[in-house]
Amino acid sequence: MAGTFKKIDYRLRPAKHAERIMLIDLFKRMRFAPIETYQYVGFGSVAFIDFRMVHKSLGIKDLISIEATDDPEERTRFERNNPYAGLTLHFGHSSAVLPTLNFRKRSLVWLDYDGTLSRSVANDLATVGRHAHSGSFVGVTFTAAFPTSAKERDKELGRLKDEFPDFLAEDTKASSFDGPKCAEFGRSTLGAILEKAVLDADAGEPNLALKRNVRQVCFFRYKDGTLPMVTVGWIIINNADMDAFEASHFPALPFFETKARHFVLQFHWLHLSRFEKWSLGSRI
Amino acid sequence: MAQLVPTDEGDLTKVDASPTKAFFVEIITKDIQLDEAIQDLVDNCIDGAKRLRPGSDANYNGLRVSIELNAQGFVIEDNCGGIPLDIARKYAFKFGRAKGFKRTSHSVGQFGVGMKRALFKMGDLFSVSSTEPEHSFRIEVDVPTWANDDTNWDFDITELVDRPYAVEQTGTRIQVSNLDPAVATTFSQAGFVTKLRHDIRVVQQHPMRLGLQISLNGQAIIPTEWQLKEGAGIAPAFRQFEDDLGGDSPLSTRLYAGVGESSRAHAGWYVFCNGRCILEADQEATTGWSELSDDGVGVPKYHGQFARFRGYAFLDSDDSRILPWNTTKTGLDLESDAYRRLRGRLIEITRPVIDFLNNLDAEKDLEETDKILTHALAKAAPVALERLVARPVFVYTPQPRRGPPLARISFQKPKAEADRLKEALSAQSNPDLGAKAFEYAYANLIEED
Repeated sequence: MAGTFKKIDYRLRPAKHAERIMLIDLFKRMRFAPIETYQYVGFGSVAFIDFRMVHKSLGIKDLISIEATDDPEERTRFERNNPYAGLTLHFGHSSAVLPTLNFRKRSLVWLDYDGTLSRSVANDLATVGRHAHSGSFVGVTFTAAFPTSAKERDKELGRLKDEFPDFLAEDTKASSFDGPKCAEFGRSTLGAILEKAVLDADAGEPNLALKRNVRQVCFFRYKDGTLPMVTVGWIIINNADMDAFEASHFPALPFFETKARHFVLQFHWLHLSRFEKWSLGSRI
Repeated sequence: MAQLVPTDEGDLTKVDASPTKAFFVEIITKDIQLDEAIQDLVDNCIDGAKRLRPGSDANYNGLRVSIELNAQGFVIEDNCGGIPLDIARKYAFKFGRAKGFKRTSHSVGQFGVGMKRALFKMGDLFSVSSTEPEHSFRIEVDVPTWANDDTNWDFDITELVDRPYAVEQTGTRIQVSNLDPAVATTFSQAGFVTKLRHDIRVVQQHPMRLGLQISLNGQAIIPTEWQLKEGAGIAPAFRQFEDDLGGDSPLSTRLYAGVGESSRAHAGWYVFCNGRCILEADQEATTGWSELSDDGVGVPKYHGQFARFRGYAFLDSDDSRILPWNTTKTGLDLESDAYRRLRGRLIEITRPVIDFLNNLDAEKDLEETDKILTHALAKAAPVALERLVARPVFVYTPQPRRGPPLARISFQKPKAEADRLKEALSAQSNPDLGAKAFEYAYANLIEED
């Protein structure tokens, strides 16, 4: 989102880099349509790193970057850094830009926020879910840190209860968000909101083959600098494309939990060791 | 003769599960308010208008509905085509929709209970007189007498005349007398009449805008205007959807969202089904308000900054069964497919307006010259919904600034010194003195590149 590039030096983000490589590995497995025919939607920031990787590794030309800035000077800066003719920049808040995009085309969407989990994040995800073509990927990254000081904990707990009233009982304690529980709350809540958005958007669809559903395919936790980050990714898929989903064989990915009875409900927590970061980083 | 009686009292394998009329009358009138019952009768007049002049944007000029009510009785009369004899005989008075009933295209009557429920609710004696192109007839029912006989459910048709009538002569007149004492008391209260006038004005605004005249106790009801502000960079959202929900006809949805005058009572979503207003100024979870947020701030409905929000959702279908209304048409059927599709769309189209209103609210403490959104809003003009062009989201595009950004400087100095300097700089006034003093200092201290 706006301003991330001012906070974090992108050259010093090994885990982020590893995550991008893993997502590209996942995209390469998708068997719904030739991957180069997809569009990629993301929050490019000034460096457009994920856009460059998606373009080089997958051959995707149709790239869309959302930048939440109105400042004409910053706009110019983004425009000048735009590396590709096929990369379109959309300026404005994601809530105002996402509904204007054409999701009738199969899409890889990465909503890479640098903020914490919020209803606004969930609403963006729901917007993508409502419109996404079967065979699309949507991923969300957010900060999964719950405050440690008593005052801040109460405030943050109150905020989450306000924004997710259907998911948090009135007597929920702040301790429910400590450690990995914060990330897990985000994963399960966003997953449920996305699933509802997709099912509701297809409510009453007379052709059962066109009814879509949601399958979780990845769940990463890592540290970006000192910030604990979470990425969850889903494939949106209709009944007609279920064979292609099986053919994609996502469980073969090393970061996919393959032992589960219902793999869609399972998740994999990835803690990268220094060696892993190095070995993943050396692959490009 | 329609009968609801145990099949054979001597048959030991059967138990009697047939309803009594008294139970029936009590149960169907229990869950409806008096004003809603009257609205149901107005709906019937509008369905008559729809049969007479089909199409969702037909011209209803010349068609009238008049309602008279007081402690003695209730009368609703229209010139909207009358109830056809065949429909009256087979369907209009039947409880629930019978098989074989041909629905009025785009109708607001849907469940086959409205008219009966309304009449039973109000009093003990009612009559329905109809003049249609081929017949005229009258049905009069004394409810206690009718309810005493649990075996015969029929009403009697009287004064049947079999001859052609011109369209201008057609119409329906419904009269209720021997009012229930509670109803008579309510009808004699000015507050009830005022509220009913307001409710009809809101609920039936669509047919009234098409030309239908509705009057209550002799006074015409004027429909409200639907407008959203546009101009000075502000542009409302207008989206259309067409959904196949497996019905006989598709569901067509038009959504408009933007800003209007600041009024808490009028802010929110207005949802219409086949022109009938089902929700008015809604800021509840039904229209997704509980799920909106901005930068960690929830959106409680009492927040003043949203008093400018206006949203209009028009859901239309020739197959009224797929519309998401409840039986009293006072709310949405939250389980329906049409509603499930609608809700996410409402949230999606509302969010950018909320963002704008939050930013507008944040301007309150700024200097007058920096209140960019406030000034833009003041310049924007109300525009009728019909004149808006399709736009997927509400947008605000800042106007290009003319000249460099300005800063305001203000300070206080002893008056005697200020007067002396004013004279020295030949300044006309204190603001002029400030500007001249600044220019003097700038010219002497700042070197241009």
